[in-house]
Amino acid sequence: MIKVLNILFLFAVPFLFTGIITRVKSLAAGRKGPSLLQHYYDFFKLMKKGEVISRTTSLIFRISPLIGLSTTIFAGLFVPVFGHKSIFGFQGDFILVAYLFGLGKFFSLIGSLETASSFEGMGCARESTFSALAEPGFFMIIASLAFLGKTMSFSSILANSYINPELSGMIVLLGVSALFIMILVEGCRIPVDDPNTHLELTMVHEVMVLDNSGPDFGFILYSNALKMLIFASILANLIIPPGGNLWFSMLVFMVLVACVAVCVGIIESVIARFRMSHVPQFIFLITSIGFIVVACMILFNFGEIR
Amino acid sequence: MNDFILALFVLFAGGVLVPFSANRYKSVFFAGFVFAGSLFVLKFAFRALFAAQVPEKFFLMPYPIGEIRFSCDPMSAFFLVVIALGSIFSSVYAVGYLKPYEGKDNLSAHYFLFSLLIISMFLVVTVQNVIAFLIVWEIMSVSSFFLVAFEYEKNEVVLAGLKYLITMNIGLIFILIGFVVLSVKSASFDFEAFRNIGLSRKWTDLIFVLFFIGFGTKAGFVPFHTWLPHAHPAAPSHVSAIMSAVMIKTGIYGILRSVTFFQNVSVEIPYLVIFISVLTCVLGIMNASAQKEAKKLLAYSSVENIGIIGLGIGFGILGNFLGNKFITIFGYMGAFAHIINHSFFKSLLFFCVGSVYQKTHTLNMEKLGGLIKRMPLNSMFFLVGSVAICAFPLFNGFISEIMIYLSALSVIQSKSPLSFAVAIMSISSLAFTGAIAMICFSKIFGIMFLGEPRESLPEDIGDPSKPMLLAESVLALICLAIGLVPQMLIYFVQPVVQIFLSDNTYTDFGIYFKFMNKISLFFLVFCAIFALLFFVRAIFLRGKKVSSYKTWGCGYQSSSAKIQYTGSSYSDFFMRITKPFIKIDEKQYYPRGLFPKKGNYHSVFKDMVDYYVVYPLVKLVRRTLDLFGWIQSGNTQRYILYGLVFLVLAIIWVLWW
Repeated sequence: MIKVLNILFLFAVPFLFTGIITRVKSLAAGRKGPSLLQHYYDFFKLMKKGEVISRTTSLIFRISPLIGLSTTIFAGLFVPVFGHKSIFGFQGDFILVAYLFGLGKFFSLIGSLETASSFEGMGCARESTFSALAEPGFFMIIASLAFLGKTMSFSSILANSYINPELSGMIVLLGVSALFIMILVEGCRIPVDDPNTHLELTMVHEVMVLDNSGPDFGFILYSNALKMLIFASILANLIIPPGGNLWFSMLVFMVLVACVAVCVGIIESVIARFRMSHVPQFIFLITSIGFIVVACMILFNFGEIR
Repeated sequence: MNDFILALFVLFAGGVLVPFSANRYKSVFFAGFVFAGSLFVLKFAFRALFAAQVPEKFFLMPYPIGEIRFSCDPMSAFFLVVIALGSIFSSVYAVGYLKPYEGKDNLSAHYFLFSLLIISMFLVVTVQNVIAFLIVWEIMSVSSFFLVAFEYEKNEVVLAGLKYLITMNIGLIFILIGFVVLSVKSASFDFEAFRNIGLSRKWTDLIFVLFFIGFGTKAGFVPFHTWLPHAHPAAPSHVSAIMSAVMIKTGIYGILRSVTFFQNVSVEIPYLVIFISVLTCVLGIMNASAQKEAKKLLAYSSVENIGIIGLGIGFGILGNFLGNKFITIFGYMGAFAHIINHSFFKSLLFFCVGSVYQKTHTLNMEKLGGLIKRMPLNSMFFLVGSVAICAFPLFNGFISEIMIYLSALSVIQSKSPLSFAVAIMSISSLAFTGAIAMICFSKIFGIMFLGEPRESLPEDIGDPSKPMLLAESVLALICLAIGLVPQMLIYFVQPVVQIFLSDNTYTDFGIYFKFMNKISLFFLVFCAIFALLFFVRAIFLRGKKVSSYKTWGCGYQSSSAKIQYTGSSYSDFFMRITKPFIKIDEKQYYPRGLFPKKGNYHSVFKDMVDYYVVYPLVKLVRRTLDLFGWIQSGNTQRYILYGLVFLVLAIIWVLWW
């Protein structure tokens, strides 16, 4: 039951998540905004189209969206949802998740380098740097939370890290804020990247996929939305306690994920994207928070402070 | 043991007989001998790996050396396997690679020294006597120096080779001191005697650090790594492959062997090893991402991988202190797995890059591009190698790295604040390293093989010749096979890990096999998902128009290959952030004025350690030694005078006391 729901969640919710973001943005701008399901329509429209492929490209360009999507879906199978166990899991599976995202990103990088466009090369340089800077902080936080569980699988790490007196809400709060930045980075949202910009020079992720079209582009959109959703569910899992009534925790979980989407939307509406040279500093915030989490964990678990 | 000796003779015969074969058949002739010899060694090593009894052989030598003992415990056997496989692949590859050099005057010498290098590496990991060890160690260094200097007509090649040789001999000094202390304390030259000599902790720490520096110089740990980025680009590709994939591992062997000597090092030692390894990983890969030359990039990436291996060893030692078997087993297992994995994918990468060099005569990636259309197979093999070296799932690199991650994660569970902090920091550094490796290898693959050629390439570029493709394809297959069936890796590694467990009892590796079963099952699921999506895409695209058009230039119509992103510009964004750790000298002339003339930009990469440590040190040493330069004036009369003075002093000394 839970596994079926989990798979349904991975397949059905991603575009709803981005839909909420878009709706919040339009409401904040005083517009009525598109339907919540608009991104599904876009996706299916793209799937029905043919493709225009750059002449300079070869096989790599064609399989890179496929690999991007399959890695993201596969990674999603390791992330717990609704405060319950994930579909797959083993000791240290969060490493696999991170490296799967890496594999997807590697192929999207070489896929766009294959088009021989200078703009896409620029986007690659930025995107690869951003993800390199986000990585250590993410590992720091998840690994220090691994101290709490007896095992080191994603499910048990997240199951043991909820707001409770043993842990203190502070660490959870820090983890949540770091993961929220992670969502902005991995989802390429403001203030890291502006998905709606029309100037190629200021783009990061959008410029990398300039030459993708049709089903390939649909795959890219889907894997992006799914990636954001995966990070949002990690975030939500940090907050809610494990187990419990399935339907109730599912409801709480969905509300939390929706809240994340709303927050992303609000942030997109109130601030502009950072200057390109300031973005790395912003991303490095994740690592700084990671250091604080490590320090907190040491103080709580080895020191006298409780 | 006898078939091992026989194999060495076969290899030696190969080296000696090469000059007598016709120029055209030299390479094939030699490869045949190496293949036969290495096959014997492989057979012997596999038997020794799982044997209950360690095979031994004694040779009685005249006085100062005494009895030389050869033995092959599981660790030696493991390294024999690595060396034998590496030798087979690079000698097969050399058949194609050295074709253009047919008739070059030093080809026979090259092959002879190649066989000498292989033999000496085999001996280094099996000999158990200090003096014999030092002799074969030095033969290994010197023969590889000559191999590096294959193209001796080029000045920079000889300089790079000399740099390598000098660095090796400085490393040798540390090893020598360590062995001298040990031999004096134990009154024996045999390694077995070093095991339990009951030295005080201070001594064992000191000797371990000496060995770590000495062998670490060979392996390429960070402050001692500066020879690698010079020697590898200078050497022909099959030599760079065998040096980077196999020979630097003998340094790791030395460190591991010295770990088995001492059971009672201080707690600080594993932390030191971990610290150095983390430094090696991060600095190695950061420097790699700044490179323009493909082989230099690969050399720095070797430095990084040595750091990863060192991390596994460090956690392995730490596990024995914390009394947690998981840490030790995962740490050593990861280290050994990474040793053999790295030997596969690094050989593969060097081979692919060598094939590019053979056709284009340049390795500067700013001049290359679009090679995937001209040499599709070679490019695909390079892609396999890069994905494997970045430790992405499905390939072998991931298997060894996840073991090291798991070792570090188990350290977190142990209740000690210091080890907690160290483990977290090494996990995040390893993650950072992985992310930079992604930048590095997307850069080298994307710039060299994808896009459009940046400068006009020769007409006859195509996939390399059959022997080269054979070596590359087998290596690529092995990388994939180990990734999909990691159980076989554990099968080979487990007898080796057994000897590092402190309690010496037999440990069941069942849970580790089960763990790998899970991983290979998950990878199959991943393949299924990929296949499914592939069909989904095919179904959606059926009957649709798929047209090709030129790349979208954002409205700019007259695009050219020149405006592509180059390797330097690709890594520039990252370099700006990591500026304090990487030294790049830049000179730029912007186009100025109302009627601007040509502008240009130069950048020269400098290794930080070279620039701030090695060169000032060399300068200092040279200045000090210059003070004594007058002694060696070249004047014969003066030298006779020295002898005379010495004699007089000696006579006075004898008479006085």
